[in-house]
Amino acid sequence: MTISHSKHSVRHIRDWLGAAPSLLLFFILILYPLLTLLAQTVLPNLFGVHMSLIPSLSPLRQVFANPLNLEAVLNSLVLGLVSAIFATALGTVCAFGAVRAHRGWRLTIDTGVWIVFFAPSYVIAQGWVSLMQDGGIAAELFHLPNGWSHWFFSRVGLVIVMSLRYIPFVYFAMSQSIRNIGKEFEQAGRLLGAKRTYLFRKITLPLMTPALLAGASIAFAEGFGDFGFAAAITPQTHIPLITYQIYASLNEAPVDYPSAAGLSLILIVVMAIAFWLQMRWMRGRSYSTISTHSRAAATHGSHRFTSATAVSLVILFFALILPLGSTVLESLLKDSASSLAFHNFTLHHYHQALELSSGGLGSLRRTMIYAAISASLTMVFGLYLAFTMIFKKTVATRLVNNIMIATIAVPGIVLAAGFIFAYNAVWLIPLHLVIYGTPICLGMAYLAGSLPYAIRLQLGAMNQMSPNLLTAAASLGAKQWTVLRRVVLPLVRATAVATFFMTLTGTMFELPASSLLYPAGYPPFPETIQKTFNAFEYARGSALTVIGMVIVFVLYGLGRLLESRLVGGELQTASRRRRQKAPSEVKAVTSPTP
Amino acid sequence: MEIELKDVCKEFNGKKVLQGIDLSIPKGQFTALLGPSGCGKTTLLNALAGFLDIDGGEIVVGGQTWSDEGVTLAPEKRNVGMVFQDFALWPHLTVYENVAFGLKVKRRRAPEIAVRVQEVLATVQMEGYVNAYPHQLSGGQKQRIAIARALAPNPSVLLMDEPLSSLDAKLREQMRWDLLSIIKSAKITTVYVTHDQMEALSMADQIVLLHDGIVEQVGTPQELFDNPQTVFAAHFMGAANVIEAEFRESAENFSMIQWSGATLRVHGSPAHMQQPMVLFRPSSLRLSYEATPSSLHSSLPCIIQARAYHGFTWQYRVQVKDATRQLPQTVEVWSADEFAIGTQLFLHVPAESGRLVEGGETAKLTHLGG
Repeated sequence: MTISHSKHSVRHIRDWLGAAPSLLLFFILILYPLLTLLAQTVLPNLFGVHMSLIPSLSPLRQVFANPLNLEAVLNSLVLGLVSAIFATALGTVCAFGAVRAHRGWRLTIDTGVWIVFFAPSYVIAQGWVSLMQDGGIAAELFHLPNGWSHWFFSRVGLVIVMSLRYIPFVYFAMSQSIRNIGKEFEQAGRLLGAKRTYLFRKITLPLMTPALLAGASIAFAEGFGDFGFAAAITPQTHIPLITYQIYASLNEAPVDYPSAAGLSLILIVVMAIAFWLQMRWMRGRSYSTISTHSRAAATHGSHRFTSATAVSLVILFFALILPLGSTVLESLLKDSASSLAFHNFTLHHYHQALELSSGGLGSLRRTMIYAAISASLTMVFGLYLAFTMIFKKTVATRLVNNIMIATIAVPGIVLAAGFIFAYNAVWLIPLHLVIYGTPICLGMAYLAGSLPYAIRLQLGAMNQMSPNLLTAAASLGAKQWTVLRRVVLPLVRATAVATFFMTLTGTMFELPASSLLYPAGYPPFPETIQKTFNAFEYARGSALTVIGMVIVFVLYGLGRLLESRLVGGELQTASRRRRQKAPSEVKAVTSPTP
Repeated sequence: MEIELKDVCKEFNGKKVLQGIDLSIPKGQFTALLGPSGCGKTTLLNALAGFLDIDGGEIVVGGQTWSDEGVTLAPEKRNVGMVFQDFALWPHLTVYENVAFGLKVKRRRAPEIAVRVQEVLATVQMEGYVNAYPHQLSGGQKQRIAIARALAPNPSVLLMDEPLSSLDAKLREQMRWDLLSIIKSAKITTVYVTHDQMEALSMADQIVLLHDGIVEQVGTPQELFDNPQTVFAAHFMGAANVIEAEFRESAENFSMIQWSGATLRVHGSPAHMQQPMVLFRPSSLRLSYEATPSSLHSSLPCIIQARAYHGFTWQYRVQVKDATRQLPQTVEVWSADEFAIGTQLFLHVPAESGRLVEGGETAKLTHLGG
């Protein structure tokens, strides 16, 4: 019994030691920054020149003492809620419009929604500003008087653009849900005498509750914690939002660390409550609509151009074509343009944007280096961490998994704020580890932001692998590294490549960390774009945005091409193997059975 | 209600799935649509339910045309109950709400609904589960609720699409009895789709055997098992030895054939058959160590090639030495006695145990031996 107990303890220690690299990485990149941020809310002098560990709730009181902060919290709450409701309605229409449409229309809607998903919110917001402001594209082209769009630069306008921006989160959840509802669930109702509208109300829509709630809660969380809209529209609309207040507390004099920490805590708590409410609703209920015999309802009448398809295309026009089209037009039109005539177009703004003296080209090059490095590291760490989580299930790896799931929901602005507290702390001075304001700190923040997503992607791929594949390799004497390199990597290489390109393109337009953590004098690309817009240089800012988007689309296309080649290669290899095996298999089948 | 199908046709992408189905389903009877995957049985059921338009022909139920080439009565107007393969119980509704759904749609009053729901739940012995959700029920219980939901609005026809296929073997056996008892007590015209001939044989009043979109044979379970008309029907209704034999003479109902050196008297005449073949059920053949030829049976030398134990019987594959054609033939025999592989025995073929069946093109593909 004693021997057994000591063996158990040794194994326990070995498990923790095995998970130590993963835990250390998570601690440095995510836990430590978040903990220091949250500690600031109860230990206000933690980061002072005269550090003190005396607790106080004064930071939280301070948050609400400032009416602007209170207004920002309420604004974010209301706008987040209302835009989540509208996004849910619009995303659901788009999902029905796509899933039950002809393949061509489905592909069109799907592609459009994906572009909206990838387009950073501040890029979309700037597109809307270019379109709607006094003297903007709409005013120039349609000769509209000043003040025509005052209604837009208000909460109403914000709700419109935010609702359109968060459609993808609902769309993805709902289209999968629609596909998963077996045809027989509707058929059963029809045979009992129910008409289609009654069935939709009583059966179809309630069956999609999980997707509806998931989509709505993500849309709310995105709206509540979105920094892009806040950064791009708040200066125009004078509507304070919580994320902008966090940014302003850290970036504008006088710097107000306690407010930033308190607001960050509120942000995390509200988002956690939203997800908790969603999970609480689902607890004890089942909405399982998939069985081995289910036939997708989506295929029923799938060659039609329905009214939902038409409405989806209109929605996408507003969500994508209008804002991005405005950005492209803004970048190509002469300042005095009053129509879309050929002579009004120019490439001057692109030339100006890429001039060495403008800093645009330098910041683009800088960001591409950041993106390449963080994408490479994300791919490697993501692969390793997912591998340990899937195939080395211990208490320690479960802990890492839970932290990772939780941190996906942490808004970028909060994580970036955490990095300021964590890597500018007084206790790091004697250790010469104050890295705030260095490229390393910014690179680490990019890595912290992308790693949880990369791990989730890798987990998805690795979950489909049978553990026996690894057991077989281990039983033949392969060490962990060999198993990872020779068995796991070849099977998940397409996902690894997808992770690389996802991080690469994501970093190109990452705004929160770029704004708060860049080394002085060396702004990254997103910060340069934002500053250009803030300086009212809309044409040059738009040109920079378009250049960035072209690079992102080219990289994304390259990634998809490589990914499909790798997947194709894997399939071909598997098919060749099957063909080679065929004769012996045929023999086995035809041989007499006892 | 009585169901009449007249020359019903259906194509999918140029492939004929139903090819002129003519069928009569008597009122109040349990009819099984039996056949392998892709034979058109589910398509036929969906056409009966109104989920599919037919390309030709007519479906008439109780004197009313439900479908013809131009018109398809909507499913919600047919007063049909259906039990699906995976039950399709709505997971967000309780047992009560699931069963009451059809009654609410028909705008029945709440007290009336409550009484009817209790009544059908009692029929399926699930009275105590009104507040349960489908995910809280076992497979068999879900099955009962699915039947109760279908029966609640008093449908004129009950359609069942392989309702036992989602259950494990033991539960399937039990549910077969329960289902039969529920349907018999409901006295409703039932159309039951299955690919399991045991299910069809043990439950149906009438079996419709479908093959490649056509009706291969219709009859009672006994008729189909004892008197299959084709090689396909013979094989599909249970294990069968179908052999090619030489015909010596034939009368109206009997023929004399020559097989492996023996002359055998079998049922049927080859007069109207394209490619007559002879069917022997494995259970009608016997094995023994001694040859005892008589007027009652013939004895053929054979050797045990393979065997499988099934608990109550042994399944043997024996090779019969064909003295005339010099070609060994393999036949299947069931026997309670145990013989070792390689044992030299005699196969006893009782007189009139064989039956002529139509071979057609499928015979060569499906017969076991030869």
